[in-house]
Amino acid sequence: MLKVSGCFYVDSCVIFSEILGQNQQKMKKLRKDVLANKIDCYISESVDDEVAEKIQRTINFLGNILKETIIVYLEDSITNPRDLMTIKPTNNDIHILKEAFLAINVNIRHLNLVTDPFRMVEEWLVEKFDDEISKKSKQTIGMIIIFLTKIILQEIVKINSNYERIVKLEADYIRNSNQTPDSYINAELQRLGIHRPDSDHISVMKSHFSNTTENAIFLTLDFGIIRKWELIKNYCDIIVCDPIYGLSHLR
Amino acid sequence: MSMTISVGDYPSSAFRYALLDIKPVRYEEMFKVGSLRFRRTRIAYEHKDQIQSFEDYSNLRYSYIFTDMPIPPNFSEEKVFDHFLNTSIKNFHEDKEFQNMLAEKNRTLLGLVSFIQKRFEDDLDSYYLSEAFRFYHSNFPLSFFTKTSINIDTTQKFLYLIQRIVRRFELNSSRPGVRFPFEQREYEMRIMQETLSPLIDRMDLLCRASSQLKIYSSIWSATDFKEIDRPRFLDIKKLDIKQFEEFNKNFESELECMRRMIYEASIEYDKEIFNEAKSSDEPTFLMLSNLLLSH
Repeated sequence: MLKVSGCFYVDSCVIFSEILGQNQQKMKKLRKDVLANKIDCYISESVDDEVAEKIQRTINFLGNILKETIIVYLEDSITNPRDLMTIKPTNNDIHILKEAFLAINVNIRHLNLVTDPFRMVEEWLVEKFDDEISKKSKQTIGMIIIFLTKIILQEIVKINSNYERIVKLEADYIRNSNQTPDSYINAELQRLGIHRPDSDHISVMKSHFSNTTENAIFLTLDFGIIRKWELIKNYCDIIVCDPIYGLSHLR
Repeated sequence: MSMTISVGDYPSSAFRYALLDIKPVRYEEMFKVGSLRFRRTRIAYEHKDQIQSFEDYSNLRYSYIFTDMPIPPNFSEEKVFDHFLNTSIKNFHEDKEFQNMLAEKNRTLLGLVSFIQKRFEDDLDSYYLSEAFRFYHSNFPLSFFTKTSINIDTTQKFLYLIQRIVRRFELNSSRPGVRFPFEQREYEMRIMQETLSPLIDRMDLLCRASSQLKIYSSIWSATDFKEIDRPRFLDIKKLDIKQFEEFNKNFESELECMRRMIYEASIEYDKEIFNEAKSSDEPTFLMLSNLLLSH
């Protein structure tokens, strides 16, 4: 058996894959590699901060869509104000939602932003409203939105619990690292077009090596970083790769 | 639909009363088999010290909650305090089912814990719904209600853990063939209480922090006194942000400590408490997953 030495550091996308059960084949292999070869697998503080911040941002993004778009449009406060807690939904409300998301898409295009997150919410919301409208006894629109918020809260609690179990409580195979980013390498990475926080995450490998003399590999699913692996290797002497190749770099 | 102030109104207090302040005692019981009379020794539980009345206990609890709680100038401090205290006492006296359970002589400890746990589980959906309702009638960010929802999950995990600890006590203390059953029960009870005590103390701190945050947000959002525990609209703009952040920080820190403590105890009592949480609404989970991966 070939000798394996060194450790892994994981990117936020690897953490999200673990929390959300995505990329199962890759994650299964990573777990197997780590456990079978007793490889230390770390998350840096900067990655942890990024994950927590992304979760918080997503929750509030969703909250804002519910409050500032869906409710505002359905209340129709300018032309014909309606109290959503007293009226039941009709097919026309789906058309109001269509109008609301169309307005968002037009504005977003104008601002040249990514439209995908809104589309995901739109598809989910229209399906839920369709289900409610086809029911015999209907709730009021206000109560439908409250029920949908309840489901969101319950699902977020579960996602958060998985994040906490894997990262905060270290109940699985990932451990927290106290190594900090290396400022010189961080600047080099930024010069190569890898911006913060990714440059923070990757430069931690250098600090880890300086402080422990142990080789550290950065595992990511972000193709924007992976495609620059050779540049990063040549200029910073750090290996970044997809989790499935991690073990091969420690042999 | 109501905007309730607290989740499971202090789940730790019932356990402090029913599990920590007790000791086993022997009593003799006569029974008949045919025409013959027999005597046997049985074990029951009795309270160690003179228990405070619920009124005194509640008074103390709300005194802690209202320490450092700023009150809007248009409300009288005393009236606000009395309102919350009296509502809590009134709710307790109206809850006959719970009082009967506490007064029942032949109840087992596990029976009591399971009763409280089942009650909480039965109302679980309404607790989450209450948080969603508060979000709908507020201008607070959704992430605020995520934290209060995590508190619901924490209470659920706490109750489950307590049930597992008490279950182990009952199994260990009633093992057949033990030479000195009373001494065995005393010993097992001491172990159980040593395990429960720090958990219940920590839960008290979390309940206090959570109540402080909710009461503060409610009384400052209320437009008149009738609304102080159920404001029509939770208005973040009416709060002193510094004060709110202080209460919020304290709540989040207590929440984290409590969850870590439950996790550490769960390793010994039941690892499933912190097992991978599975989604129960696939479309919502998918939407959230895609959002998280796209942001």
